[in-house]
Amino acid sequence: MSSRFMSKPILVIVTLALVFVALFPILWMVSSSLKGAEELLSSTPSLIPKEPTIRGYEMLLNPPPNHPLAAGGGSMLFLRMILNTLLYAVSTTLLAVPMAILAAYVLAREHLRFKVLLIAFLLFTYLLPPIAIVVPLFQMVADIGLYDSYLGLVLAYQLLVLPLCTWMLAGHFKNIPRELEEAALIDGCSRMRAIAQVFLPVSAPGIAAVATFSLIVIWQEFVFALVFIKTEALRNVQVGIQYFFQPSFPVDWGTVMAASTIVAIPTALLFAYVQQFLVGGLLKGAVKG
Amino acid sequence: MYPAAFISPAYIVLLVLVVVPLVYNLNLSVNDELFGYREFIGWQHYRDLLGDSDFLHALGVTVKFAVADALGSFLLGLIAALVLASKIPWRNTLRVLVLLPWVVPYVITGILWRWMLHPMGGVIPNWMTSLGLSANPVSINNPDTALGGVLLATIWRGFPFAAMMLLAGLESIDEQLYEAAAIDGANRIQLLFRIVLPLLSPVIAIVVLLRLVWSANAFDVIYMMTGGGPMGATETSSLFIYRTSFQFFNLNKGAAASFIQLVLFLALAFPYIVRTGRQYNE
Repeated sequence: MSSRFMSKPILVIVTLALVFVALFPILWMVSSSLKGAEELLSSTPSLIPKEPTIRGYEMLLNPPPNHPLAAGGGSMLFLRMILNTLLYAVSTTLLAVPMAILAAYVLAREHLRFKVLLIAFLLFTYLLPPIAIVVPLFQMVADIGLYDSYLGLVLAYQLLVLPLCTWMLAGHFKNIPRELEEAALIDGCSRMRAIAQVFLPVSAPGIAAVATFSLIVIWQEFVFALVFIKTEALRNVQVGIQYFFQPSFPVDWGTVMAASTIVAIPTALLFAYVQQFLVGGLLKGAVKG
Repeated sequence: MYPAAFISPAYIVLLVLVVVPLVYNLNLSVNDELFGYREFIGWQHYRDLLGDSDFLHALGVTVKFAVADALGSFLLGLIAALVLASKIPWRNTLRVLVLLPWVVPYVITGILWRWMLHPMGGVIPNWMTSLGLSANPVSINNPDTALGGVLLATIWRGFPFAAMMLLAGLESIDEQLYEAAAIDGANRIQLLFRIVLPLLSPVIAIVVLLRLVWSANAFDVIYMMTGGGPMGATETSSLFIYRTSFQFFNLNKGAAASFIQLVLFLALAFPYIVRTGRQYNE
């Protein structure tokens, strides 16, 4: 065990501290989700629950009648919101990725006169803060009559996901050697066939990773979901989790942590798949944090 | 024909979703609307905003927050990268573990840290008391320290990104440079400051810039942790825009504030955008 930058004892201490800092909050979240109401308020909390209980999780699935979660959609509201979020994520991705593939292919392969402009525009939309555009976008969507609708949100989400996917794919495609399609073209293949039967299979893992990123982004999206959707039945779970923080209702932290744990699981799983690509080529300029 | 056809779907959608709202935004911001009666008022909203102490305060909070977050994420990320570049047991597992905060959704991050800093059941105030501190130095209920509390959450979530990028940069440094330095008698500190950091400076610049941009525009975590309070202590310009547009229903003023936010964003990000665009084209 050694480092060029620090002595061994320091390395040990720093490594342990790092792991602690990264992991502890997450462990605390799960641990709190398994604690009962009294233990949560204890002045000597411990990481391992002294009296573990799944009460928090039960509350999510069977909230008592006057609980905020039971409002509107009945006892299935939490599950409903999870499903909604899943639906938004998948639909947005299914719509965005094909368009992104087409655009990225041209950006990666063709020499265009205004390519720098195209890339700059893409990066601009990619880094654009959603909050700066949400006000006029909201007005526009409302004027078209798509406010508080599933379609409206999925369309608005294209703004968040298209630039990300196009940019990541553009980088990924550029790394695939041109010779691949050239060889197919020389053999008499039409360009369409060359792309479909030669290029796409080779680039498929990268495309899958980019699609996964898109899912991750939409799963945790909050601002648009907050602004564009009003009906509880259509809410996504990131916004819906606010229901726990009603002013007239003391916050039930055990249930909140249970909900948080559940909401964090999909991103954890998706991320587990995608992290293998991260330290490699896909990272180049792809991730904005 | 085909390049245009392939590029069109994505770019047309983006044009519609970006350029049209921006034009709309300009229109919104130069009007004032009351009960459906629209009146053109020119730059009045902008003038009001620049004199609005709440807005100016929000800008100040934004700058403090963004700089602190970018610095904090960078420093913690650097330490993490230095550790992960070393020879340690279970290095690959550790790399994934250290990336874990990045996996937690923004909203959950806000809620989780709100719970950890909770005056009654929160684990951090508890530690503070057992360490002998009378008050929680990062309490989110205290206007003076609330920003610090929020920073804990955003830096925690953000440092893995910095760590990843810095690690990639570290691993691309040629071994021979280290050997040459060792021959010249460099010690560890000199190694770090005279060789590694200068070589990493392009990556550092990108990391710091992206974090600045991100935190200046951050909304989710702050909203869930403090909602901008207490008493506006954590209200960044993003939260100001949200409050003005969707709580006070003054969409026109919110549009003007959004425009100012956009201009500031462009000022920050423009060099990066142009440079990266050119780099891609090489």
